[in-house]
Parts: sequence; C-alpha cells; structure tokens
Amino acid sequence: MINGNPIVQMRKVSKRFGKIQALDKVDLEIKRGEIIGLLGANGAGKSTLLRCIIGLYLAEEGECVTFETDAGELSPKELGRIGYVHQEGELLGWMTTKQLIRYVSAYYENWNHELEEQYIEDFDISLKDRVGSLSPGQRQKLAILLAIGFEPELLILDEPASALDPIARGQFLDLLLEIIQDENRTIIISSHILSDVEKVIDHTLIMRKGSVLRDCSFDSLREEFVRFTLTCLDGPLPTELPFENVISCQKSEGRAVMTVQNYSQEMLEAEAKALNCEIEIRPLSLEEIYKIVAS
Amino acid sequence: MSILRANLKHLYQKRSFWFIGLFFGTFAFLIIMVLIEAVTENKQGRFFAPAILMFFVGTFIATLPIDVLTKPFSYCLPGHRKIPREFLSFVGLPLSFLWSLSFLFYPDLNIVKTILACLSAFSIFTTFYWLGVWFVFRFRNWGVVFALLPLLALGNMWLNMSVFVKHIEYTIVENPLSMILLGILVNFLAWRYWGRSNLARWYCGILWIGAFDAWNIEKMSKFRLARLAERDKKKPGSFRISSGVEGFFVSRISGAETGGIGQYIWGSLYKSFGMTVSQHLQDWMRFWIVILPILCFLCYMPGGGRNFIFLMPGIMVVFINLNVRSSLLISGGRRERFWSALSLAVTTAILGTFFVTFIAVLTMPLELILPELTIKGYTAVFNALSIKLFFLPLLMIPITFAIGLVFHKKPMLAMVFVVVVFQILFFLSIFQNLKNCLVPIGSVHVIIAFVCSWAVFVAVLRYVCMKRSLVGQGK
Repeated sequence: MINGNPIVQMRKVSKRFGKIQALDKVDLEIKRGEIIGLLGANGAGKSTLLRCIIGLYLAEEGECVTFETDAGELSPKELGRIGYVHQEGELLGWMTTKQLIRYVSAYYENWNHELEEQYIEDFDISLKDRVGSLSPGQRQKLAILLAIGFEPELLILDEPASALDPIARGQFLDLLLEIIQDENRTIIISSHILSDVEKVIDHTLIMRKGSVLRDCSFDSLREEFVRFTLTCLDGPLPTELPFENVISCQKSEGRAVMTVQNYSQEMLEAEAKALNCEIEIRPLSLEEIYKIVAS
Repeated sequence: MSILRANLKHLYQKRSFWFIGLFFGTFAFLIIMVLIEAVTENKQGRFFAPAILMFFVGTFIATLPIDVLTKPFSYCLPGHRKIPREFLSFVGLPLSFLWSLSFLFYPDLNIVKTILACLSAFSIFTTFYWLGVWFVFRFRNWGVVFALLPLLALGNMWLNMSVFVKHIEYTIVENPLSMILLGILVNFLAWRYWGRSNLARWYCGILWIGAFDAWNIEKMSKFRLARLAERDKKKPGSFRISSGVEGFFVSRISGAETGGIGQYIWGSLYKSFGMTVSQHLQDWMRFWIVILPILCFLCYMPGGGRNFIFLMPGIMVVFINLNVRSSLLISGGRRERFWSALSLAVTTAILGTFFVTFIAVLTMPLELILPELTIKGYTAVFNALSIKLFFLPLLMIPITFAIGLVFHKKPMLAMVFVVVVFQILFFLSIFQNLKNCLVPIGSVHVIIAFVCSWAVFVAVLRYVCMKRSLVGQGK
C-alpha cells in the first residue's frame, strides 16, 4: 500500500562532474511503500541520483530531502533506516565475512539475526573467507545481506544482481518478493536486468543524460504501449492503416504486427472490427518499453 | 603496422614515460658531462657510470611488456609471444651500444684496444640492462627497486664502491675478452629467457605493481589483499584480526549509544588499527627485529640524520585512511564521519608521538652500551636520538592528514606534496633550529605551530566532510 507522505523529495536537483551533467534539474517524489525500478543507460545518472538521496553526493543546485531531512545532513537516526547496496561493492576486504557481519551488525539495535542466519544458509555464504578474496558474486551477496540485515524502511539497490549467477539471481528475486510484503518498505532498484526488475516493481523511473524521462507507475507505462497482431479475415490489409502514434509496423499481405502508443484495448478492438480483422493484443515487456522510451 | 612497432609506441603513448624520459634524459646529460670530465682530466672509474644508468633503464623499460603480458587480452594476441624479447632487445641493445661508444674516447688506447673496450663495455652495459629487466620481472612489486637505493648507499659507504667500480672499468679495458664472453653468455640467456613460450602463461592475469601504480588506489588495494591471501595460504589464520581484538572493539561499538558519536569513533579505530594491533600482538618480535637494526643504522650515522625518525610518523600517516570517503556500509552521517576522523587523527598523533618518544628513550641506555665501530678506517659512534624533538609528530601528522584528504585520489601525489611541504618547513628558521638542536625552541613557538597545524587539519576535514562528495568521482 502506498502512503501519500513522500520519503524522498527532489526539487530541481543538479549535479555536474566536470563537463558531464550527471543530474539536470531533477524533480522527484518517492512515496512510502513504492517499489521503484530506476532504468537508464550507462552514464544516465542513476547512481548519482541514488547517492544524492542518501547524501553521499551533495546537489549543486536544488534541494534533496530524505525522511524530511536535507540529504546532506542525514544523521544516524535517518541513515539507520536506509539500506544501500553500492554498485562498486565497497566492503572491508581484510576482514573475514563473519567479522564484517559482526562489525556492521554492531551498529544496529534492530539487526535481525534470524534473517542473517537464513540468508547465510540460503545464499551459501562462507563465513571464514576473507572478504577481499571472495568472488564478485559472493561479495554482492554479502553486500545485500549487510543492506537488509536491519530491515531498513528504504532499500536502495544499485545494480544488486549484476554479478550474481542465474540461480543466485532467482534466489535474490524471491528474497525481494518476500521483502516487499512489508507494506511500509520502499525499494529503489537500479538494474540493467529488466526481466528481473519487472517482476517486482510497481513504479518506473527512466533516466537519460541526467534527466528523468518517465516517472510513472509501471501499470500506466504498460498500458501506454501495446503491441498487437492484426490479421485480415478476407484478403489483404489496406495500404493505409487507421492508427496514430505508431511506433513500429511490420506488414505483410494479410497481416501486420504493430506497436502503438496511447491506445486502449477497446479502441484497438473497435478499429480491428472496422477493418474486418482479427486482433491479438499483447503487453510489452519492460525491456521493450524501455527501448521505445529511451530511443 | 608491425606488432613490435605497435608496442614501441607505448614508450610515448604512456604519459608516465614522458616523465621517465625527462628523468633519464637529465641523467644521461649528467653522465655525458662526467665522461667529458673523465676524458679531459684523465679520471678513472667514470666510464662505468652508464652501466648503473642501464640497470635503471632496464627496470623501467621492463614495466611496459609486463603491463601488456599481465592483461588477459594479450594472451591470445596472434604473434605476440616473442614480442617482450624483441621489445626489450630493441630498446636495450641500441642504448647499450651508444653508451659503449664512450670508450672511443678512453685515454691512451690504440685502435684494437679501443674496439675491444667498446665491445667489452657493450657487454657490461647489456648485462646491467638485462639484470634490471630481470629484477622487475622477478618481483611482483616494482617498488623493490627503491630497496636498492639504500643498498647502493651502504655499499658506497662500507664497501668502498669507487674502488670496485674502478676495478670493473680496468677489467673492461684491460681484460675485454672475459667481459665479452660474459656479455655473450648473458645476452644468450636473456634471449632464451624472454623468448620462452610459457612466459605469457606465467604472467597472464597476475596482479603486479608497476612503477607508477602507487597512484592507483584500487590496484594497490587489490594487490595488498592478494598478498594477504597468499600469506594466509602459507600460514593459515595468521594474517587476520584476532578474536580478542575483534571482541574488544565490537563490544564497544554495540555497547555505545545507538547512533551516537561513540559508535563511529570506536568503529573508525577498529577499521584503522584492528589489523595492526592483532598482528603486533601475534608477532611483536618481528616488528622489533625490523626496527632495531634500522634504529642502530640511523644512530650510528654521523650528523643529525638520525633524528629523521621523528619525521617518519608524519610522513607515513599519508597512507592511513581516515574513513571519510566510503559508501554507506554503516549508518554514519557526515557529522559522524567528521568526529570519527578527527578522533582517529588525534589517536594516531598520540600513538605516533608516544612511539618515537619511546624509541628516543630507548636509545639513551643504548648510547652507553653500544661500542664505537671502525670499518675500513671509518669510526662510527652511536648517538642517542634527541628527545627534545618528541613533539614533531604532533605538528606534522595533522598537516599530512590534511594533504591526504585533499589528494585522496592520488596517494603518491600526496606523498610528494607531504615531502615538499615538510622540506619547505624544514628550511624555515624554527625547523632549522630544531634540526640542529643548537637553540632551544621556545614553547610558544611549538604551541603556535601545534595550534596552526591542527586548525588547518580541522578546517580541511570539516570542509571535506560537510561540503564534498563522499564517494566515487564527485568533488
């Protein structure tokens, strides 16, 4: 359930690295309970946006407020409600896995030891190995554990599954599905593995060159774009088809596969009936939608 | 373009080699000056100088093929297997040949002897060149080359290097055949060694530290961890935080008020000193086995050089991470980072000061016990460290930390800057007085310097913690 009170508010936030405009006047509101998919090409500004939310980067212009506090002034009280899996997976390499878990858990009163034990067992994490000698996948599993162990209200996952093998990715998705059962938990997940992301998100945020291209619910995005196959019941299709906002069209004699924008199912069916055609409608996957929006 | 030519382009494509070119160009110029002086004034022992230069040229040139060999993509490059040998030869042999021509001007030689001396010199120069190349191929850390510098200094001091050098030069000229035979043997072995088919397999994907990799924080960190893992394999469990140390710190972190500054201060101390304390408790003897000979060496040195030990903590802390810039592993905000970093800096300064003071006190009874040493007519006396300088780390450490914070992405640049800053301060009157220990320094001077250095550090730390990006590429 989405609560109307935003936990992150960004107003005209800009951030620049030398000549690169990493964020360009970004306006954003994240409400409690949302599961947000943050999408964009490499260098689109996703990680910068996430780091601004938790105050690791300071906005050069605009205002970023997290948990009703300016992001640059977040105290342990607010940060203790945020779990963050860092894209670069920075951990303390010289500690053993067990030592690192003990070290991080010492900071949190509400550390869930049961969850920790379950996670270690499910994800087959070796406690004796030195963190620096773990494989990238193992490091990522450990980073996820450290981010969820205290059951944060806001979980920020920056490319959390990029180094995981298919089985671990599946387990991670199951874990996410379990985590999102908590209605008060907000998750922002940035990933290029869109087939995984679409299983959990209810909101999409698509970025390009530091700007937000789309900020809408996943359902509305899925309704906005639609692909259908039109098969004429008697002879060839007319040369001109009566559809507007056509994104792509592959036409053969009596059949056309089209992708269109802003058409409801009823409208499409009515058009098909007028053309004396049979229509088969299928929703687009997140990856397909992303390619259309980002292109 | 031939493969060799493509590789030779690295000599100018790599920007660090512009600096190396300038460095060696200057040295080559100096050596030419020395040789001109040797010819005009008939001085012996000078013609050997290019051999030393060729050794160091070898150590630098070897970094280029190693850099390529260690990259996995190069393993499958067609026709690349013999390139390290061709590359090394293409650079080293012509250079050695050019330097060997200096023997054309060697005084009082007839034509035959001159030609033989040139060939003999060529053999020796290539031998030194290949030795330098081997040295870098053998060790995984180029930094070991620096270890040779004190050895050279020691050799010069205790073994009378100039006589040794003159002897080799004499052999080059008077007994060229033996040198030529040596050269043929060395070049043959080098040709075989760097042409092995399994060379690429040995070096593919290994972590190694090149001449300028100290600038690369990520690579240095990976290298240190890889070395730790290797040591761990040899001696399982020995290079880890001991359970006692871990228990001590973790209980204090969890015992402190949740979200309070205390947690972060203990956490920062744990991250910075946990490993060092564990190692020291497990194997404290090793530390003193290393320290005591260095201490004796410094204290037997004439002049005030021994007091350099008071400057060491101030320089070494440039490599200590104040844990200001890190991703959000724990819930510390900017304020907590500031206070934990400040606490860490204060603790480091106190420990550094305590350490050098302890060492200085230790040298006092040693001064009474240790005898005078006479080697080859040179008499060295053990002098205790001047305890009056005990406060130097307290002044230097904050400045070094401040420089480290500013140049956090370039630790070597920070190191250079630290040395330059202290060199400048060293020549200021207050430090000049300290250096010579002739004029007692007023406590007012010390207090002013103390307040200024800590004020600078706190200002920089506060600015970084409150106003700058704390992770990644941001400023």
